[in-house]
Amino acid sequence: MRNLIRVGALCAILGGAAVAQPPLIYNRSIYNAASFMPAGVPMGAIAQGSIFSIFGNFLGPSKAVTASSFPLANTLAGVSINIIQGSTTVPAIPVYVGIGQINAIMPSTAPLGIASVQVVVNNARSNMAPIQIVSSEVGIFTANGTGIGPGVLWNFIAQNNQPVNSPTVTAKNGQVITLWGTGLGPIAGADNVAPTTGNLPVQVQVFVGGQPATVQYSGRSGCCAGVDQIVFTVPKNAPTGCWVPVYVKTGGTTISNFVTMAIEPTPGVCTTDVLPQVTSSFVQGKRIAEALATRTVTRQDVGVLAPVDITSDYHVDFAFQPDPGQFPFNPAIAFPPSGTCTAYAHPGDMLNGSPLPGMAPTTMPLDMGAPFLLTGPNGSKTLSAGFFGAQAGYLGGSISNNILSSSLFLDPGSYTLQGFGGADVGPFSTSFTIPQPLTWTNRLQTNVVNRTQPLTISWSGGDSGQVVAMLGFGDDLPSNSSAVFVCIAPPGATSFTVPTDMLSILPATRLNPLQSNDVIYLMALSGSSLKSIAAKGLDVGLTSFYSIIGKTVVWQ
Amino acid sequence: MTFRLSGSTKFMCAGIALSLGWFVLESCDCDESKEDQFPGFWVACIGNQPALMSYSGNNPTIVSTDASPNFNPAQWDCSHPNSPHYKNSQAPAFPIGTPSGPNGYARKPHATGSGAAYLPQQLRILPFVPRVPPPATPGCDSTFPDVFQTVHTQALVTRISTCPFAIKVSIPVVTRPLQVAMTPDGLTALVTSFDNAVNFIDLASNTVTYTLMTDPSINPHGLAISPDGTTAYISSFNTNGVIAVIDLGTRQITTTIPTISYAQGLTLTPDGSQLWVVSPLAASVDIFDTLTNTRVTGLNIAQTSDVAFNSTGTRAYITTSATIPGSVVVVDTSSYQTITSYTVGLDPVDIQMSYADQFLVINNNGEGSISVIDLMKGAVSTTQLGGNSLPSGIAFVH
Repeated sequence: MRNLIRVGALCAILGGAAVAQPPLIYNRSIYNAASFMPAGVPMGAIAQGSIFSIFGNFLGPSKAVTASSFPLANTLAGVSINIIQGSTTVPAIPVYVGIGQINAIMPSTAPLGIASVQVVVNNARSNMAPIQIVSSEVGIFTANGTGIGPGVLWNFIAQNNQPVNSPTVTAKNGQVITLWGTGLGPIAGADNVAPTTGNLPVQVQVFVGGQPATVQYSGRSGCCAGVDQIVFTVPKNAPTGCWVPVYVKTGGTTISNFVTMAIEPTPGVCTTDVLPQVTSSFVQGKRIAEALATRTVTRQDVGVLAPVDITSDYHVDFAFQPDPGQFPFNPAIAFPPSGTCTAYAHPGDMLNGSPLPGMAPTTMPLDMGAPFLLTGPNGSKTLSAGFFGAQAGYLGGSISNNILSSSLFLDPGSYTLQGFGGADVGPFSTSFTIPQPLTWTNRLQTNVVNRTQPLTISWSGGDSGQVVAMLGFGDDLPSNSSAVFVCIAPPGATSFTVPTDMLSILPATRLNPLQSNDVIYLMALSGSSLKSIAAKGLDVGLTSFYSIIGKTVVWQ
Repeated sequence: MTFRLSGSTKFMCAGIALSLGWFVLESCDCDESKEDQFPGFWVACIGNQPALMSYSGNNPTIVSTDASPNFNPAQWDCSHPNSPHYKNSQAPAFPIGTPSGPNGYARKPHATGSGAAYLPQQLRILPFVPRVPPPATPGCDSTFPDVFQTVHTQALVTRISTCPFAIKVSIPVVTRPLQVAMTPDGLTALVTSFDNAVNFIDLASNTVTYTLMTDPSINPHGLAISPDGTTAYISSFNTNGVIAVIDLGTRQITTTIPTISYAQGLTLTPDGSQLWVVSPLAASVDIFDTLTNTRVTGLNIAQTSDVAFNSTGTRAYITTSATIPGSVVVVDTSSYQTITSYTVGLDPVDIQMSYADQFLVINNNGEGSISVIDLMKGAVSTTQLGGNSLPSGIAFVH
């Protein structure tokens, strides 16, 4: 166990620039320091004894200061934090203070329930900011520091050899793993000293790819105040893959953020069973192009005067060479293994312009040249040019009840896609088929979903080789918080039951349904539409068609 | 003194009815202009410099290379062959084997709207919930809601049917009524009267069932009710700037909070966690935390009349008469920084956000016009009402 707060290694620099302006805590900007879950979702509370982050301005010295020795003090570089509930005030323990961010330990004695946080910098007091304090709410640290993606999970090989799990440093079934997190719960002793190791009294369950793992240890790390370790064994029946979901459940009900780990029978670079070509290109940083066409059919019957079916055809064509880094992860690509589910939560409205961290490419697109030409049963369309290297746009749509007459383009049939070549990607011509869509057989019966009961989704038809995914979104607009579960059905399945743990991460639909955007999408990915694009300059080129069937719901 | 109706006063101007047509045109995904398809921003490297990009018509355009609340050039690296890279960190590179967080490496959640994308916004978020337009010609029937209007000089509140448009009943209240708001359960309307009273109207019987008389030092004007229906806030329109907090269970004032003088408009954020206070006679806007009834911060925006929020509460739109013509100032509600402003008509007063957060409607009381801001296009259109109209009060009824 390594020291996170390196005792004695750093001096407590009490200097830094004098803070002239009063400290300001930004609105809705207090999070578990590992998960960053927004306050508006069920996982968004702050646990007693956990490390939490405060964001704002003038919160501390311009040159950040980290606590350097035990016992930790209630004031660091002139910065202190008060937790206030009614007439009760307890000090939090700062471990890192900077002008824009504070990391602090929520005292184990902090009052439960709604409370306020106030920062004091050299006697200047900030505004009060509300938080919800609970006894336990685990946040798992992630390698990219965003709360989603590869977790900080150490593969135990030997006491002095515990590399961080990643898609290129995989674990195997039966291997012992150390999970780093914060928020298991309060301790009996003081929070400001090197914690005593030992299991905490809270019930802890770890799930790997939906399978329960044997937990050997769940308590504070020996080194670090507020930091928890959970030692578990990868279940023998856990699925393999690059991004196998891992989460912690405490007290039988409280769910952590979902992180991923890579599991393979033998050490090395991981593989997946969902879109393996895309995955391998992404993990290995190959030059990839994808021509993706989608048809989305959504029945909107919540918060509207009359049900309406909205159909939209889109395409997006892009080519890029990803920079995978050591911990490659993009939630748009990093699907969980077949038969499993994962979940994400996020401060923002995921359905309306607020993408998850890691979803946006971080490298320049490759130049594919002039707009592609797509020819199919409904004629030809020059795909609108977006900007350098990327092409994307709306192909057509319809809205029922004669609101918008049909201009749909992507009907089932044979298509030819032509590219004319650019600076990075050469010309090509490839054919693919858009299959008949699958049918979501219990779609209209899926209205009010009780989040405490498993949800079964059934379908028929579709295409051989298709990958069926289910996404359930819960957007709580007033709190600017959203969550989504993502499940992948086993190959050949015609139904899937979404576990209650996935549903429990979704915020409940508001009484005024216009304050929520709640929808389930059943997606058929690829299948026979998946064809190669052979073009100079590409390692991998693919066509793909996603059939997406949506239904608005009420999360009860 | 300004005659005005609160945002929840439910009074529809003729011009707003006309705007229903715009909803049909603009929200059906049938406009193929790039500006509508690609409302997002992204970052590109121009030479060695990161730049915030967007569309102008069909052409990528540099929005800014300077730092702004939504774009920090320092977070982008243009030195890499596949630049730009989003550094996405406030700290040195992640040290292998050390969890992020407690050592100072905890990182800010990605900045929404930071533009860390190359793909157009709509396509990054597929699948999406399409916006449903209302029927092109909404029928007029009894399901249309009523609206309420204060008649300041006659000590009346009128309840008006909107379809057909007719006064249903006039309800006597304490003299000089100003604003009206409904409780979330729809059972009660509260009306502020400048002459030291808050009237409680039972909406089933259309009668005042309770009158809360305030201290003479309080002249009730602005009015807001918490989303859970437990608390009302009223502002005092005089030099004794206070907000009175009313427990709607007991119908008593539980506390008063000092604020700007001549506080007029009170608006709660959608989650009810903050109360924003504006005044046409003050130099700033006050923001309060409703859990503790303490001041969060102030904004240096003068001569303000009303605030509207988007549905997620991430943006505030504030009308101000400090400029000629008037403006709507856009504020990031996380950092309280001004993002931009829109020029509207003279003396803008009320402002309302349409469903789906696309349009803002503003009454320009000083010139008898209505401005509509299309937030997707960033365009403002102002329509003169003609005659002697001096609009006050806005509500969407369909």
